[in-house]
Amino acid sequence: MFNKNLSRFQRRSLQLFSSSIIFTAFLTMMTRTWFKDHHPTGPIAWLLALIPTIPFIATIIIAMRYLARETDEFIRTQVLLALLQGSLITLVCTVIYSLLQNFIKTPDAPAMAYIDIFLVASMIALRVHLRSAQ
Amino acid sequence: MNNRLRILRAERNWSQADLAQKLEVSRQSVNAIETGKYDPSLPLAFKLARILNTTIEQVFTDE
Repeated sequence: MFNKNLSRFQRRSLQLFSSSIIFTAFLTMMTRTWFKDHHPTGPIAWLLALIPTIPFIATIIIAMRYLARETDEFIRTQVLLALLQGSLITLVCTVIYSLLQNFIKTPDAPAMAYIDIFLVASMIALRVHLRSAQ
Repeated sequence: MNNRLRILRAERNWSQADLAQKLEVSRQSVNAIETGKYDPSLPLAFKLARILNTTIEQVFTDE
C-alpha cells in the first residue's frame, strides 16, 4: 500500500478500503452525536444504530472481492494475514477494555471504535508485511 | 524448501521486476520466493520453471 508497485486493481481496492475507514469513523461520530442530542427510541434508534455498520459491511465486501480477484497469491496471503492480525488486535483491545470498564469504571468507549481499530490495525499489519518483502 | 531462483534469474540478467512481470505477480512475490520467505503454489512453481525454461527440480530443492 502507498506503493508505486501496486496494480491498478490493488490501488483501487486500497482506496475503497481507506475511504471506508474514514466513512466509518465519520458515521460513528455523527450517530453518537445524534443519540446524545435527540435521544431516539424504538425503531428509529435501531435504524440509527444500524447506520454506522454500513461502511463496515462495505469494507468487508471490498476485502472479500479483493481476495477473490487477486491473482498474486503472495499478496493475497499477506492481506489475509493482515486481516487476521487486525482481528487479533481488535479482540485483545475488546477484552482489555471490557475488563477495565467492569472493574475500574473506565469511561465508555464508542462500541464502533473497534471497527476503526480493526481497519487501522489491518492496514498497519499489511504495510509491515509488504515492507518486509521489499 | 530451498531454491536457486536468484542464481537462475541472474544467469538471464533479469531483474526481480522483469521476472515479476513475466510471472504476472508483484516484485515482492519474487523477492519473497527468492529469500525463502514464501513457498509458491504448484501452479506458480510450474509457471516459474516454464518461464526460466527449466524444470521445477532445477529451481526448488527439498532440503
